[in-house]
Amino acid sequence: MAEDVNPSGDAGESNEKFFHWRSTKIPLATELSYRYDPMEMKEKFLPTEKQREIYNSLNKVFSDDPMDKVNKKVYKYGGVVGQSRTKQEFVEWGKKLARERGIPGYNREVGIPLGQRYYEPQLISGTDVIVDFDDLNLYNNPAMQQMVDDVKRTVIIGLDIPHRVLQLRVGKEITPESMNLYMETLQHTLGGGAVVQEHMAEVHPGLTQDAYAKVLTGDDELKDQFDKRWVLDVDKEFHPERAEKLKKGIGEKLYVVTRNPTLRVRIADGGAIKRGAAIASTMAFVASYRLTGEAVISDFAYAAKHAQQISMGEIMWQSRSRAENEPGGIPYGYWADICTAESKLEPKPFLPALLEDLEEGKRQLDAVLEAGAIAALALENYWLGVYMSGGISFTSASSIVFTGNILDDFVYRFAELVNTYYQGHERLPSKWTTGRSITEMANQYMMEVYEKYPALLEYHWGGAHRVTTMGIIGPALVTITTGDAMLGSMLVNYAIGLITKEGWLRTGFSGQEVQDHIGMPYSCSLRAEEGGLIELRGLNTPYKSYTATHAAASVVQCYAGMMGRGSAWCTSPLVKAAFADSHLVFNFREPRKEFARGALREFEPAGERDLVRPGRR
Amino acid sequence: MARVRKRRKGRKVKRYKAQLYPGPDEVSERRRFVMDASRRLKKFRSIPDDNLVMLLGHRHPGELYLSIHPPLDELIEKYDPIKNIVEPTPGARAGDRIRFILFTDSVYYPPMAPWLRARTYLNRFRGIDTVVYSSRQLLEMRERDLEAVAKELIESNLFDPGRVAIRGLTAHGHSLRLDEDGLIFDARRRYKFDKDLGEVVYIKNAQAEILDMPIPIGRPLSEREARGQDVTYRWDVAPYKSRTEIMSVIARYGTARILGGYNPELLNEIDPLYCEPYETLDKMMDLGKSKTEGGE
Repeated sequence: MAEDVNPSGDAGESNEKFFHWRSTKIPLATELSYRYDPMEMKEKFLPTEKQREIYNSLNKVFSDDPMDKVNKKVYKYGGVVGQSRTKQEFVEWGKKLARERGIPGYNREVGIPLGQRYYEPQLISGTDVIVDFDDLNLYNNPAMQQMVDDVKRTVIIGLDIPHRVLQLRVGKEITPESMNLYMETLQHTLGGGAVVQEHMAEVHPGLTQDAYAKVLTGDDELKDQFDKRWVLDVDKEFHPERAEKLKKGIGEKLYVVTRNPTLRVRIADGGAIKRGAAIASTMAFVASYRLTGEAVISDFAYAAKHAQQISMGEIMWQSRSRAENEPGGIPYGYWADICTAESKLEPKPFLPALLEDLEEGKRQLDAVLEAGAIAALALENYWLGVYMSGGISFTSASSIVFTGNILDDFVYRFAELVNTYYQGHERLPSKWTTGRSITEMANQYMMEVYEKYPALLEYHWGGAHRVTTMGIIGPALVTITTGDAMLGSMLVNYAIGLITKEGWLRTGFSGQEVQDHIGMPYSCSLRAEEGGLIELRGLNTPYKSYTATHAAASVVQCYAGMMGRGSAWCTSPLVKAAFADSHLVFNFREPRKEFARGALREFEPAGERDLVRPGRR
Repeated sequence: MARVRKRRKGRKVKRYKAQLYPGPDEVSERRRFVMDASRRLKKFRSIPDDNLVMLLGHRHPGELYLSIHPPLDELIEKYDPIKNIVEPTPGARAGDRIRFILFTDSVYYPPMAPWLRARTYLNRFRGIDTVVYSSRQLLEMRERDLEAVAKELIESNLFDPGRVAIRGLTAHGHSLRLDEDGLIFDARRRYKFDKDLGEVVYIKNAQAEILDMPIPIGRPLSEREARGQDVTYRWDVAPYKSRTEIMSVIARYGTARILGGYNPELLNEIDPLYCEPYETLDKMMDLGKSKTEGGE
């Protein structure tokens, strides 16, 4: 190595001084101070390791010592069919299909032989539910589908402009009775009932039983004027302090949160939802205020479709080419608002909450992981795994966020560390120095855990899995302690594209960390094609659109930032309130439990056509 | 037009010497060694040419190379100065097909790892295309060039028959636990450990087609030996957390990228000597604070 040392100390050759600091003032000692063989000391730390959640979870999943590098049973498992209940069911169905329709379908005899290795079951994090891996495939899990359907079928419409039009242009009086009549009519039109033409074929209400609308306002007096059946009551759905903040954010304005029927999402797309909500609202105005076909109706339509409509997602650019309200066009900040796992927690900034009560801090971190589960499912699995690739979803890449209690173990460990070492802090300074050192510490620790637990490496068997973990945990720890999602998003790139990559000399699949290299210079950019505030970025931002496993990390940063600041919402109080609604089919407070219910086939989705199937009349 | 800078008379121009990789530790040194084209790889084993051809599975031993265009010497092409400057590789000169070799590197004490392969290939070989994955590295070259390079790679210290696998398809398994003989997992079971011979024996070629006869490829390194060849930082080889210099260098990269994206002129404020540009970025974070607080 002596040949690489530049002893001259010439400032003009600074590039050469850049490496190998023997000639600088940085001591070498720190690099060489860890010379020991931990394998020889294994017996000493094994009892401690055995107390960890990660050890127990892996032990449960693999039925083996998770710290053993060698698997003596590999190649002897007898194939995947012998190992998995669902695969046996698939094989039976494959035979049934071939017999009944005459064309073979599923056939385990073709392609690569599965099951040479252990086909591990999946433990859903935060629960005791163990399911087959196939049960977490998006196509097999109705809860996962319903989650995205519930987002896609939601549109929020402002009622203030239509009310002004009614008062000023048409001369109608707005009263509690008229507003309630409008809401009652809207429930009817959203489900496919006719109100304007006298000769119409309508939709069977049983098919659209999940369609409804609720009013949303921050003004308690205004709220009291509505029938309680169609009020989205923020006070009921949130912790009192959180509700106060949300009401202040929403203000005295009046909105209606519309839920189109799931069946419409299944028939058409998000664009149809946007128009469906608008036409249902316009028709309800026409019917409840007895309007005729005059020009003023276009004002209602314009207000409902454009001026005061809040879609969940924007349209995407040409090559992605999707309408509004499709997952790819929904910004990260909205996804963070869509998760309402924190709704019953006190809106206290994370750090003081944790330092005061460790368990409260852990509950906040649980909420962060719930947000990660929603984002991983919707963006990695649904959008990139199905919409963009036309595949059967990236099940393994997304499920690692909510299975095995792995991420939970990491964040709990860090919570304990923070509880020990950050006493007396209100919030850590949102500085690169702070963020970088915490992320380095966290990521190096996680890398060591992977190395220590061969079963964990096997569980997260692809680089993309580990990149997801690395991108989420370390930066989220910084974000939640500083409250700065922008810093967290910089650190996501840093953690994946530099820390992980240079340690192991690998990240994920081809081109995995390309967005991390361009992501760092784009971190501060507000140009449309490069970024914007992290909360307003999404997979609609071109450079973010083409590599999987980063979207969940970005959403987690937005959500963790919100928790770190003690805010009641991340980007929009309306979106936050809209998804705390207990009438939604999917419970956005506990997504992981919902996925487990879907895997156990206990979840009842909406939008089914059972009523019109043969023999069901 | 860009101004042409005249070289001062008598000024000595030092030849650029790539530094390749930071860090004074053994793992860094191994990384530098394999990337440095001026340093000869160590020969660990020997594999006959015909065995290699069978293992790759692109042609039969003794079979002529198929070509996709006439030899360059016979082609009459338009004048192109680049073609005069760049000497074609033997395979390109002959018009060979493009073929590939793919290595999967285990996470357990690998003598090579995907990104290091990319950097090594680009430094050491000509006429290549390479793709990095999490477990494997694809190397595409003209067929005869590929065979020469594959031989060099497999015979050298960059290959461990136990922890590096030659594969054409089904390349998964890099992070799975090792099998009972300490070999990297392969869902196609292309190889096994021959206890009598004491060597890893390939019974299928890279494309998982059964070979007419098994091909021994050498003795797998013991764990102790493999740890001595490991190019990754591991908790039980060289803990990553104690690599002060490499962490500072990547911090500098990260900082420079962020600052450069924000305002390229800020790059001038990074101290090139000590790589401690934190203050500058911290200042920027303070500026951006009001933008990022969001929420309420």
